[in-house]
Amino acid sequence: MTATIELESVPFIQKFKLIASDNKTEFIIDEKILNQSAVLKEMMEIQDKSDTEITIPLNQISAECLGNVIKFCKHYEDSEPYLPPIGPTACLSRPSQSHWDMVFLKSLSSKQLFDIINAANFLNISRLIDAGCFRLGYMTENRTVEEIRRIFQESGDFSAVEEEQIRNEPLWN
Amino acid sequence: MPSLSVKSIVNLITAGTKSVDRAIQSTRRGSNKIRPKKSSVADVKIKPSKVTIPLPDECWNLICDNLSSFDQIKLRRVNKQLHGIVEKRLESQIYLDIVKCDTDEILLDEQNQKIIRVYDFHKHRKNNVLLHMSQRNTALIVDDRWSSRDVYCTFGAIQFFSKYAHCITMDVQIAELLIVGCSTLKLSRWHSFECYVNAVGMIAGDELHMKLSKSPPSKSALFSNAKEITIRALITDLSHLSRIPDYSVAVEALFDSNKIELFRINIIDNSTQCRSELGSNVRLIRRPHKHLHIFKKWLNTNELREKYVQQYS
Repeated sequence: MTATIELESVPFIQKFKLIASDNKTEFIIDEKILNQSAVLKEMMEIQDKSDTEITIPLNQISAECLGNVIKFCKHYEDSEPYLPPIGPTACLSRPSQSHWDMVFLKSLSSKQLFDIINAANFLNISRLIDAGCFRLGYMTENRTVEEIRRIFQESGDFSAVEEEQIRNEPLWN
Repeated sequence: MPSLSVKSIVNLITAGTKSVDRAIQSTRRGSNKIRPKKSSVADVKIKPSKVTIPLPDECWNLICDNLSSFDQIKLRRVNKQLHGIVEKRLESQIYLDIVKCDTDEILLDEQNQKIIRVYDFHKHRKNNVLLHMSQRNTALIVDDRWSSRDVYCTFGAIQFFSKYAHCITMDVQIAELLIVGCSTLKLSRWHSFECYVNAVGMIAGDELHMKLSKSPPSKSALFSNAKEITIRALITDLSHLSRIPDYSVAVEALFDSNKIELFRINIIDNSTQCRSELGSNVRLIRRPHKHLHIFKKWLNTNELREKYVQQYS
């Protein structure tokens, strides 16, 4: 009886090993971080949890990107579960530029930002998807088309005819 | 001159579409469009990118949700992917409301600031034009002291949104502007005429006309997909209707008579307020039905038959 009580009082911490696309870089995370990803959480619910450390290969996510994703999730490991803003006033929930999320994402290059949003979308981490999209929104608002193209290193893939058509549209905005 | 209050305008803009929006919201609630459905890692695939902005459409849609209407429209010009995404959003804009009122009242009034936040009006960077886009509804508001540039901007915006709109509601001044835009007359010249009409006052201005003899070359209808058009007019503003035939523009330039299901004139009776402003001079204003008669002749209401409706409020 005493032994049982002792066993129950020791918290069992499940660890997960995430392996990046290079098959070398590994990240050990706990359940609090893993649960922020709806896909991984769902996967683990149907997984046998007898092992103390479960290995999850993530072939689509680079080591650098996975590191950034984990850094973001670690910041929110003790926070309440995230509820994405919905409804007509959803845009009111946009975080300010000085919010931690925005500062963190601002420190990333355009490519890193796209990678982290794609990774968040792949792993279904709602908070990171929304934060990334808000950050991209800040990057595009009040910019000219040329500026947007420059920021995203985008040359435009319209044909000459399509470019001409767009140019001929009534100029009002 | 009495005018519609800001609150009533916002109500007019959103009325009728609320239920549609609510239905859309309810279908979205609980399932975020980006988030994949219950699936394993193997089922989830990142879309291969054709361009250097490798984000799935769902992410761009979420980004667009938080951008101003003007920024969204600008994104169309960046690349094909964004063009397709924004175009799809625009295609759902089947309600178009065009209002002429005091934009300062909307922008500055402290109480109405709440309305702006909720309905999300965005001001044009150069002109006194506000734009609001929700899931189904586009609202365009132009300042009642419009400049020549505002007039051009408004007409350009209407031309842009016209192909998407199925139900259009506009103030009578806007209806006149649209017909002038389709005519051979320069908008800047018409704007000067409009300023003159306003300057001479309601009574003398009621009889002023600028007739054009030259008709514009026939083009496809401005509102080519319109099923329902409503023109909103104060009883004292009906002279705008009687000026419409002056510009030698055929009714086919406005809408396709085969597609239209309802053409409504909504007349708002402000004669009591007018009487207090003009006193005994109110009798000098042409009787409303005379203006309407000229307009109805141009509109060819005999052919529209039950599709033409005259509503008083």
